[in-house]
Amino acid sequence: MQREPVQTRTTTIRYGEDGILYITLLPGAQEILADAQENVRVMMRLSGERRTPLLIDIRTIKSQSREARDYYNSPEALRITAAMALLVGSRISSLIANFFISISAREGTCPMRIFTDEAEAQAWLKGFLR
Amino acid sequence: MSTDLGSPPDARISQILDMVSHMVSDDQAEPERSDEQGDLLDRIIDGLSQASAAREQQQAAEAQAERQSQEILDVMFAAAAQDYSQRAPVGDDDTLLDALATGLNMLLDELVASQVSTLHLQQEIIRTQDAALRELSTPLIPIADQVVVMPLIGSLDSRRTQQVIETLLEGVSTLRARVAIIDITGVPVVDTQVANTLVRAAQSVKLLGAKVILTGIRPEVAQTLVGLGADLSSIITRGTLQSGIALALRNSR
Repeated sequence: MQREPVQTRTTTIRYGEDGILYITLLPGAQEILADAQENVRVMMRLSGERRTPLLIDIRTIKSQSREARDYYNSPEALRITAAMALLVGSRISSLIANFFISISAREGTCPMRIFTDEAEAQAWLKGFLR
Repeated sequence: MSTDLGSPPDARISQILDMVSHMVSDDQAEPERSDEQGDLLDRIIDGLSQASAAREQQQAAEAQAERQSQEILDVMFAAAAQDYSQRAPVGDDDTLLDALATGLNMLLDELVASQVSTLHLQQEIIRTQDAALRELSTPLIPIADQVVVMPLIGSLDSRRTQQVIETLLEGVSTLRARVAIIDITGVPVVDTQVANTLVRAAQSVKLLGAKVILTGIRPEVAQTLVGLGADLSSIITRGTLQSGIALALRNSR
């Protein structure tokens, strides 16, 4: 399993020793569909295509297109997602996370929660480790 | 300005310094007290210039907020006028207005997507209904071995006349019919277009080795057909559907 972090246009992705996949948005990231597709490809590669808990730190995100949001919510992208913790801090990140979760809830995808504390997010995600 | 460094500082100077310090920052610690009156004046000047810079910064931020508020309002006004193409600008400072602009943009994205999806659904429904209606508007009914009837009801436009010919030919071919009855009792107006359709249908059916019997010709329709000079020589005609069926059954034996 690859442990070295991979940097994409909008994120840094690494598979943690604790079995959690850490996706950290780069400062000012503006995600579009192509970014979402690239990120999911990397996530699949790092997780070995196994269902994995994801900790997505979107504290510094600036925007996310609807197409990107839809793709992250697609069965293809969620195939490897055991649970998703969204780490927020800024007003914009909170808004995007709430929007994302409300749409996912409508489509009933996988367990998702918003956190402002990374340790709490990790603790929650550990409950989904096999 | 002359200062007497030997005399104690004027209390009012300290008071001004305190006020300036307070203007620059509420969190700033108490200014250092100095016995040197000259230092006090330097600090006042320094404080005033900081206050001035802070004020300029604040004014710039207020102007920026004003502009951004107006831009957000413009997007909302456009959306109220059903123009969902505009998006509010989002700054880099994560201000309340940035968050509002982000939320507004995301809502507009969802609205546009929902509209497109509804439009696609409507178009699909219209296509399905149209197909069903076309099928119903040109029914071909097999009434006996090798005899089919197409009762036409309502006016015939160019699309429907084409449908009549296509359905008739396909039905005659598939059912291996020898006689096709076209009943126009329910067609209110027979004009050149309808007459030509009937002639074309009859000629096409003939090529497949079958005959066409045209029934339901009312007196006024007969007059119209004669008046139009339509060549009906390839079509057998009967006044009623009943007589047409009787003839067809005889011919098919």
